[in-house]
Amino acid sequence: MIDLSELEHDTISELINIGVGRAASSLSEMVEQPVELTVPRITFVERFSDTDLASKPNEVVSAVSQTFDGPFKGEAMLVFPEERSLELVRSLLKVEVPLDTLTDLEQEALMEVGNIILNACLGSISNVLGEPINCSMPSFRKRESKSLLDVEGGGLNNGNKPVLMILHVQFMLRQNDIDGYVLFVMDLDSIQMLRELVRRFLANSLG
Amino acid sequence: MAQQRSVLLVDDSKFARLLVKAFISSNFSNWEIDEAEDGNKALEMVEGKSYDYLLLDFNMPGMNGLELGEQLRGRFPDAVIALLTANIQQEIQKKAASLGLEFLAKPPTEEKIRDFIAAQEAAR
Repeated sequence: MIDLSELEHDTISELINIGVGRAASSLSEMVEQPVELTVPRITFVERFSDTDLASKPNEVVSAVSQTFDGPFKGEAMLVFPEERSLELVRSLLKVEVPLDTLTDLEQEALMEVGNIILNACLGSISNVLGEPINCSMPSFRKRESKSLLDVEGGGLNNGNKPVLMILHVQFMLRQNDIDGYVLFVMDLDSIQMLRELVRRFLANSLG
Repeated sequence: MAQQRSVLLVDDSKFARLLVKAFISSNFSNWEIDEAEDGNKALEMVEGKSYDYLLLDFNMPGMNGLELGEQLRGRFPDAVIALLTANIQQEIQKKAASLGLEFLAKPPTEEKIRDFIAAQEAAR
């Protein structure tokens, strides 16, 4: 499907690792507790349903998504199970608010968390590669996991080369029993451009 | 007790405004804090009032925080104007510096906001 050398694969994983590390640090500041991360995993698939992320296809998840555009483009997503989202919002708010207000604020709060987390990831990657990346406004969706990447009126799945690179990192907040994951989805053209930038970065770094 | 100041928070996220307002209020209780959800609203608000501190998000509908900051810098040469944003890209930080804007990375925390303002107050 796409051929990455071991070093390229390792470098892309490390780029994501740096980005998600920064994101975890941001999340940890917000919730005032440690955030644990898994090692990033890269998979190439033709359909989202081919990934093991869709192992609970009917689970309803909350997701904040931002498209990004620059030398490579795609969609970044922060995903967590729906039933834990209010709990997450409660741990983010440092001011006491009534339950009604908490529920009203839920979507706003999750969008802002997504904005901070996803920008931390993308910003770190941009800074390492030295390439500016433009991010869209965050959008919120709540749906079954199997339909996570379905976008009304188009989207990455409808590209002419339906190859997706899924970069998956899981995060855990043990005190609140919350876990979720970050996804980066890119099509074939963008994957190739990212690979090219990684090659240049390695060439510069290694002399 | 610090001198009374006026603050304008510009952020399309109600949640972000709520947090930052709470952090400022709990440390600088007599300060006046106004809010705008985008750049156009902020420009309307500064027509009738001047501010000592203007904290601007970067990624907003309509004009972004740098475009807004550039206009506000011309209008308020002595005010503290800061980008308070999740967008930590060096490109954005350099542009902010070149426009005379401070840079604060989100997430906003009480300590971060309090220390930033205290340092600015000490420098006045």
